Amino acid sequence: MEKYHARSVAVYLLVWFLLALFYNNLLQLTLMLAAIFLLNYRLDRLGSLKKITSFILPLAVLIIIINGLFNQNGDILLTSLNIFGYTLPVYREAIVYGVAMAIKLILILAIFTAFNILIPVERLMDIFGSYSSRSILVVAISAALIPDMVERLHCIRQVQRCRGLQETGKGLLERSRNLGPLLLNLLRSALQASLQMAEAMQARGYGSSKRRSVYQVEKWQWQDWMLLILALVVLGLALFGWYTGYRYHYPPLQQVSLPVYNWEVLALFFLSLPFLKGQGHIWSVERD
Amino acid sequence: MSSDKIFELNNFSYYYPRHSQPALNQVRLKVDEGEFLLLTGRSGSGKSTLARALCGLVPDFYGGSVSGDILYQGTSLGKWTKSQLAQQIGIVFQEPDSQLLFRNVERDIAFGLENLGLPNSLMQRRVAEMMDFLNLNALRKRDSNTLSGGEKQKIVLAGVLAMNPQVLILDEPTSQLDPVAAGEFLKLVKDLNDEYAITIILIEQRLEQSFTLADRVVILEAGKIIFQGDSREELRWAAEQNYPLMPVIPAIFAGFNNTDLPLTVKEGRKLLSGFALTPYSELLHREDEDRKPGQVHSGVVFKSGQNMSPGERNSRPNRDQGKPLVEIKRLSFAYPHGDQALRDLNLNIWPGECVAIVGANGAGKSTLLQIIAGLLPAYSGHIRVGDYSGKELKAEKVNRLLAYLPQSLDNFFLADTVSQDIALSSQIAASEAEFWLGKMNLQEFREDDPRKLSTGEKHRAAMAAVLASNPDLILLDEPTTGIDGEQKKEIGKLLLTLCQQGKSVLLVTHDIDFASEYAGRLVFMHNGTILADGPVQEVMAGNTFYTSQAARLFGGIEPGIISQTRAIEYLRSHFEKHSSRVVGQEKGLDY
Repeated sequence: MEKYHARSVAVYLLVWFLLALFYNNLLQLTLMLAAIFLLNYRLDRLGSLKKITSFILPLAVLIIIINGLFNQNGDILLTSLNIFGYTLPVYREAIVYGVAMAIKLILILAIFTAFNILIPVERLMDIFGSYSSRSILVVAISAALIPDMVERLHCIRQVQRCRGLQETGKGLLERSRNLGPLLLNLLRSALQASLQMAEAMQARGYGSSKRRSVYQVEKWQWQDWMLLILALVVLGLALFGWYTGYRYHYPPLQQVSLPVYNWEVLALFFLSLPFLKGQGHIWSVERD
Repeated sequence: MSSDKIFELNNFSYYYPRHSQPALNQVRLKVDEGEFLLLTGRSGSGKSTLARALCGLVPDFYGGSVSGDILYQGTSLGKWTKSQLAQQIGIVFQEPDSQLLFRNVERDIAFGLENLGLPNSLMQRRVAEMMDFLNLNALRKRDSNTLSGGEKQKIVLAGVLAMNPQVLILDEPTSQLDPVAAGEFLKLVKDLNDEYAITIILIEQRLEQSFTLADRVVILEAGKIIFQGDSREELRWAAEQNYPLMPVIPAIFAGFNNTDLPLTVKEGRKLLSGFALTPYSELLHREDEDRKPGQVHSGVVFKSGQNMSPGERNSRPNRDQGKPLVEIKRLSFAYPHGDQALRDLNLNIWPGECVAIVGANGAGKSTLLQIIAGLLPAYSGHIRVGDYSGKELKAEKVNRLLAYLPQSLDNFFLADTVSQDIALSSQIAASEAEFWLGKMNLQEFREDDPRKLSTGEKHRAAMAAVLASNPDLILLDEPTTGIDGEQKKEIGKLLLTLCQQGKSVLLVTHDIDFASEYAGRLVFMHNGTILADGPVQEVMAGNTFYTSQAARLFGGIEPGIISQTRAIEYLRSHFEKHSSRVVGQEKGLDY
């Protein structure tokens, strides 16, 4: 099995994350999404991503609807809606932008999912080496927070369905009213679990001395250099493309095709995928 | 810094932040080095708080204010560094899930050692040694999420022991474990005390297995120590004071005012052998005419309901009247990750029945409950709950008929106060919520946040919330976790009242003594199938480990006696008859 150092994997995924924030082009984001889905498929056959589908999709749809209704920047009028006596024009640019933002959201969460599979809390702590501080504790807890909250939301909904307090009321108003306490409970429950985790960590001496030792020392090897260089080249190309003017402007909707630098960036991403061989959640984690 | 007392608490009091009542009140306690101390008391008495105070988490992690002092090896706890305390005083909490920090088992064990900054070679040695000692090598590369409750608790223990502590504090470590795993875990703890001289402070509600292990018992009540002494002294004290926290075996003997209180089944049987017991059938010979057909089980003859344990009275009720409330045929279920949880399972539940399901962790008990509650739709086979079956068997619909109380209550409560939460799920009037607050003895917590209650109090609050909706079927997953003996009785009685009203109760429990007392029928599950299903006595008679303390006490003597209540009734009848015979002989009467 090929092995990668947690730091090289972290840098690689950080570049993915930065580009996801950086790009707004619909085609570009769609291709990046396809690539990250492929990566997630290789890691756990999309298992972790499927768990958060019910959480992401409604949010993505909401983004598209809100953009379509309230974003008035555009040239191509698709339709006009009459809501409570007010006329709301819906522009093609607004819809496309909304779709791009929805894809961006899914993309970012998919990057986090891959990150959580590849770098579980123990490896994340290894990245910071021998430092033991509250900020690392916060990073460790935050990294586990999103998948934990999704799992927790599922449990809360199950229990509340049995209590007849599900958020599936008859009207939108009733559903929203029912959803409020549920989400509040989710937040409370997640914070409580984080507190318990912090207590267990303190009981086992975390933060009691400034220097920690590391049980499994990861070795930086040639493939880590390759991954690091690849990530930095991709980032460099993306920045260069952005600097030389290949930016997505909004409005108007100028182009659907991609500038050449972006193609190169994406091509490199796709090329990097076969690199990342492995299986299961301990992919590339096995050490000597 | 050396002292023969490892802990000394001098009038130690502690207030949680924003609380006017102390959680610990003027506690005075000395713990000897190498001692095995059992700390017990009613739910919410401050046991867990005291455990956290002894390892410095209270007030360091929780805040709040303290008065008095805790000395560890003669030096105030505050003068030890955090690193020294973490290394010397290990603590294992109730829920293993919240303590397993990593998914990699080996890394989790090493976590504490990393925090102490030990050299890598020493860490490797300590982890390997601990895995060998606790027989964990097979789990080395396993994902901790896939382990059973017992395995998880052993990993947590390994992580603490690897730090080589002088003191081990265990806060109800067996509450999530089945009887076999719990027994194994406690034996291991006893070995650590006997062979490695580690001071043990064990907090437990399940006294049956832990009482005989301890050198000394300490009882807390409302943050104060009300008793400390050895196990036998505690039994005498509890019998005199009529204090409800007593293991089943001595409680049976105390129940008919016997002054000699045995600690173990072995001692109890020795005492019984000296009683020259009259067989139950002979004992009740004169009352044969009152007997009713169908009340004969396993050689025991019942006169009437009064000699049965409460649960036995509702064994096989209303079976001839119409169809069962729950009908399950050839039910199978596999989780998406491939684990086959249930295999070809058949089960019927009739109105008015109280059915207990027992079995090891991972036997499929909770899965079965979730399918009945309409939470896991992807099963194969047939299941009908009331009039709901097939696609109609969804939690949203079936909740009109049944109430489900899950094992973990972390996600149960929605409202800000206990009374609001009770009213929320059942959409009832405030007066009715008040009735359930009283019924579950929760009046003083009316305005409290239910999430901040103790484990036992949480269970009672959740029970009140589900029962207030007046369901026909009540599904309870481990309803007695963290609940003391007195409250268990209250809950048991409540369940029986509900059954007498025609409601059905299906409960999953590791508490065999609770099941023997209050269930009419026992289902023994193993590896997704039902291996035994029948009246409690019949099923327990065939079991060795999944059987009650009373059944062990009377095994081979009166095999039908399986509950504390019946055992007490039997012994009382025996001695009443014996004394009346003596009186009769004195008066020249012939029996």
